[in-house]
Amino acid sequence: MSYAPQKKKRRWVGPVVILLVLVGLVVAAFFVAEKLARDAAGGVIARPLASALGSTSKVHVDLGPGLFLPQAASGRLDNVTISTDGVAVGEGTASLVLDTFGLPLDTGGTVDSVHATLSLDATAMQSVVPAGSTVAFAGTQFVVTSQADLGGVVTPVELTVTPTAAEGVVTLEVTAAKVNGAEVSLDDIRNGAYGPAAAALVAPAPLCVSPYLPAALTLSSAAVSGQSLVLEFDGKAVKLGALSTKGTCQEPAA
Amino acid sequence: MSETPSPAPVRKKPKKRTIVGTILASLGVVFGALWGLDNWARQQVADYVTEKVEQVLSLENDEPVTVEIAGVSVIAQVLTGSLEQVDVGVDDVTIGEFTGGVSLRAEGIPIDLKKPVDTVQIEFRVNEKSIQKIAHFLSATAIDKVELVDSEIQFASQFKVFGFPVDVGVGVEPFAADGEVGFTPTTVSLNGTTTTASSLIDSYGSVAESLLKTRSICVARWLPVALTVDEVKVRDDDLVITIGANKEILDDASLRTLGSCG
Repeated sequence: MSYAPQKKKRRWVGPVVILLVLVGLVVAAFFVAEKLARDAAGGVIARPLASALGSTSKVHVDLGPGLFLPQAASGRLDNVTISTDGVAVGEGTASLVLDTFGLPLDTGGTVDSVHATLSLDATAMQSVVPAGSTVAFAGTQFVVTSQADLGGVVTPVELTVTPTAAEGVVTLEVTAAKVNGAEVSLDDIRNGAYGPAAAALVAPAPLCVSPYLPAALTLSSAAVSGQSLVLEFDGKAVKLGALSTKGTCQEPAA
Repeated sequence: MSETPSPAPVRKKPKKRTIVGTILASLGVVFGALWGLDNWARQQVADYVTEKVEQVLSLENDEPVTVEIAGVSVIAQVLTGSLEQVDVGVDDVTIGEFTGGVSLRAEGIPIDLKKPVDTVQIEFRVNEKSIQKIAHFLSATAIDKVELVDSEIQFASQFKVFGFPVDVGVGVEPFAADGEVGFTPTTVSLNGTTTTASSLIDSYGSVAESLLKTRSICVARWLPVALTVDEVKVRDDDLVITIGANKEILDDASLRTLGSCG
């Protein structure tokens, strides 16, 4: 068999050139198709989400760093980040970032995991604290300033609040209080030294945020970060259809 | 037994005609011999070329290779030191994953391969099926459809997002220039609406321009320095790649040195 080694020795350039040309063609087409598909899919994903989240501003969809077309062909997107600044919270708006892992393209599918971050700035917070109060962030806490009727006298009351997350509920705990600009003992207030209305004010209160997010997500943390109250939610194996069902609070927010 | 036939009357043949006849007969024999010899030489050259082509293209023996040597006399051409024109054709050849045809035309081929060949043109035709096979292999499942239409290759991808079908199509036109093979996206389509790349650039400016820019690869690096890619075109449902050489020495040494771009 002297023919076979000869065949190996001499590699014909034809297939190499044809292959190069084809690789070039496929790459050129793929780049364009990938970009077009990405834009189109982003739009299609954003539309139902905007309505499901009740967002008033533009919903941005980031389809992740991986190539989109192969993922689309497999029917599941590895990592999609959906963000919007326009989630309506009372009178204000909060920003929401939904990080999904294993997002199915089929509506009946299940998302592997969802991580949501809801950020309420001072304006949005206004809607979740008693009317007439103002909110200012300070370090890991925020300060609610309101005019309280203390035994017939309307007095400015400043409450320093620390948010915590426990059992899926945001709890606002008052850690310090100033009445008329002077620091007062929380125990005194609780014991009724300033009347029952003041005592009620400093009692730990749940913050109702469930109506702004899909019910399938569970609160995992609540903390002040910069000039916002940042609430994080997690969900595992969430049905895509379930993302449009908002949660409810057991007790309506005051 | 019948009676013995009477001897035929002896006729005197004209002398002139005998001589002419003899000369003609001799010439006939000579020409016949020459013709035979030339045909034999032609066959030898054809066999040599066929063998070379089979060897170079790594063909199976059953692939039909046609070799045509132009000109009246091969021997006369050999005596002048070069062959006028040789055409080689291989139809339906399978090289690796590709099925298509190869045709080669060489003009002014010196008997001494140390001298340059006037022109050589090799044309590869790859059929749509092979292209589809390779394209699918290259793009995994991302590209669903590959078609050769008019002068471009059209790629299409379809998928569904939350029940909404998305249909993306891209048409690419190949071309060859300066040792490079380039690819220009010429048409794009989204859900059935086709736009030309140029009108997309007109309306979306630099974003579309960067997306739809021409890409190229240096093919010369993979080819012997003597050969250049002259043309890459879509023609009659085939992708045709033409490789040529002009006044180049095509011996083993020159075929071993690879080229470069720019």
